[in-house]
Amino acid sequence: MTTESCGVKAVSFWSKHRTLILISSIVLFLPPLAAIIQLTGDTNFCGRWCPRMFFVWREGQTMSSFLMGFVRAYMGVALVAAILVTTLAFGRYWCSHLCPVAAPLELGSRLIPNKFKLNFSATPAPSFRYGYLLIYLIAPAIGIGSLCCNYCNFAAVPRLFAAPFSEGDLIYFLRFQGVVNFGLLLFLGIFAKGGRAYCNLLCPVGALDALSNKIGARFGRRVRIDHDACTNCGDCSVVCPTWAIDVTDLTTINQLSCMPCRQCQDVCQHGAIYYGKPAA
Amino acid sequence: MASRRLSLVAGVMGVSAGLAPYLPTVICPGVACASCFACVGAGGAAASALVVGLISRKFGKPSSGGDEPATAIVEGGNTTT
Repeated sequence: MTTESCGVKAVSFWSKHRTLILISSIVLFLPPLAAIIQLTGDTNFCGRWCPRMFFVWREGQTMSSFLMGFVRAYMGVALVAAILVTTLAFGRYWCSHLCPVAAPLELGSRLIPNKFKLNFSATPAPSFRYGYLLIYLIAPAIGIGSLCCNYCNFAAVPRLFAAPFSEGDLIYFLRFQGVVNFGLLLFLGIFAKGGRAYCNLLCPVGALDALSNKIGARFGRRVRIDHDACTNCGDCSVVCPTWAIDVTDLTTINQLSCMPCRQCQDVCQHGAIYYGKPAA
Repeated sequence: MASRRLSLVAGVMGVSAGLAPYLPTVICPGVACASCFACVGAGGAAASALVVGLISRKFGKPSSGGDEPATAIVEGGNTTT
């Protein structure tokens, strides 16, 4: 729980250095350096690092070819497995601090004046997200096509960073799919309040991670509310980038949307928000 | 928490977003491209409808909109805005 002494609120390491961590993630995962991706000789998240395609079953696919997808994208599989397991215990730190795809969107949105930003907080994100995920999983299974590479944030963002250095990546944004993806990154990312609308509405990895977050909330560490200290002032709800906080008669955090960015904890004047295990 | 109706609307919008990329295929007659741009128009209309729906304040949460009238409790127990 947040401690206060002499009017100075203690700020956690993860909250204090979140911006720096996000920038580091961009440097480590995205072009031109892409230091971590280069360990396997890759330049982007497509192929071996693809985290979105291996769990999608396609019509007519045999079990062996489905499993071969896991082998082909072994780094993506390892990444998603690590994300889901760590989320169970600690919450969605991948989404809030480490995701190199979300980082540029959130950091970019901070540079945009508020009056130009779209506020998507009216939308119940979990319903939208899992409606979309349903089609994401069903459409390839019944053979009407795949959404894996349409709307792919893990393809578009690295290509955006690589475009100044690579003709192929630049051409991607001159094609219809690239234009659509670029538009989504702009309207659901940089020009969205909090910069996280894409994460909250369309990212399938985020959707799986949110399920893990919800399941692990019973025993793991999460951002929680101390209802004895909470005054329902709603300050936390205003700063939440994933519009996860509902302030009605009782302020609640929806763990299907929450990620531990801790902005709510920082803004709470009453020390009513803490990161920890559920109260006994 | 969002109402059940609002959640249902959002769920349908999510499904629509998933189906949106198939819209050009559905409306296209399937012959060689005649550059009619019907696909672009349909895609643009669908995207616009989704964005407008997503940011619509009609179904918005009163707590996070920021510009809704605040409720205050005055002396005597009466509630005013």
